[in-house]
Amino acid sequence: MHIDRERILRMLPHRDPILLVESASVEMAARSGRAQARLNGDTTLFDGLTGCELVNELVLEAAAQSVGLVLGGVAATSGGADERHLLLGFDGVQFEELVASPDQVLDIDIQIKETGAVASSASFRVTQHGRCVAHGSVLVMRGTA
Amino acid sequence: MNRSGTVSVVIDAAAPVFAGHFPQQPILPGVLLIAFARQAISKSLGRPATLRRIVRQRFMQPVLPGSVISVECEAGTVDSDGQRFTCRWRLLDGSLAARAELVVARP
Repeated sequence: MHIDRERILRMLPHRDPILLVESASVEMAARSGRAQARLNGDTTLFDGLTGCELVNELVLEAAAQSVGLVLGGVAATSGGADERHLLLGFDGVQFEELVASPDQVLDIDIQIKETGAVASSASFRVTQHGRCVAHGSVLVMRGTA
Repeated sequence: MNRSGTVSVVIDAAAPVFAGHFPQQPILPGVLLIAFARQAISKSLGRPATLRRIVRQRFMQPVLPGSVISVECEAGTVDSDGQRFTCRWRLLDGSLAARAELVVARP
């Protein structure tokens, strides 16, 4: 299932300047997906900090948004209701290579590991130009749509 | 030597990020708490801190515009990846907003 920007805006509450995912695709049977994101390096987000100065943090944010889309996509295609997720945390994250350019596309591969009544976890791997930038796990909690 | 660094941040409601996180319900993105921890770690190390690894990060409660958040990062062991820090973020009332074990790269 392909998720375009219009659908992303329906599935996620995030908006500019912090909506980082541009598109995604979900493989329902495999409970996995891939998203494309850009980090907006010149955009000031908080207290003078720009995307360039928050690269690793925004990689994590993009991974979390991607997990939300994959979880939402899997739920929607299996007849579930549209649901939002709240970020609970990260586990075992390793930052490998520095992001070459925040404004160039990052590919984010997501694999759902566990889905429970309250919380779900997924592993992520972020690459840019084929090089791994970061990988780890995201933990989210079900919220309200 | 056991070192720690502390940073306090006023969460300015006018910050651009709140326009998108989220409209009509502004909440500080949890990942920005990690940035504040890096500032505290930089302060204790006396050099910029590059995040190498997150062993474990948990967000306990949302941080809202107008609040004040303090993060204390205490230096721990050193491994091949770098220096480990135990970080705790607290609101003004002392309640825990987040906690983490982070590893910062060697210089």
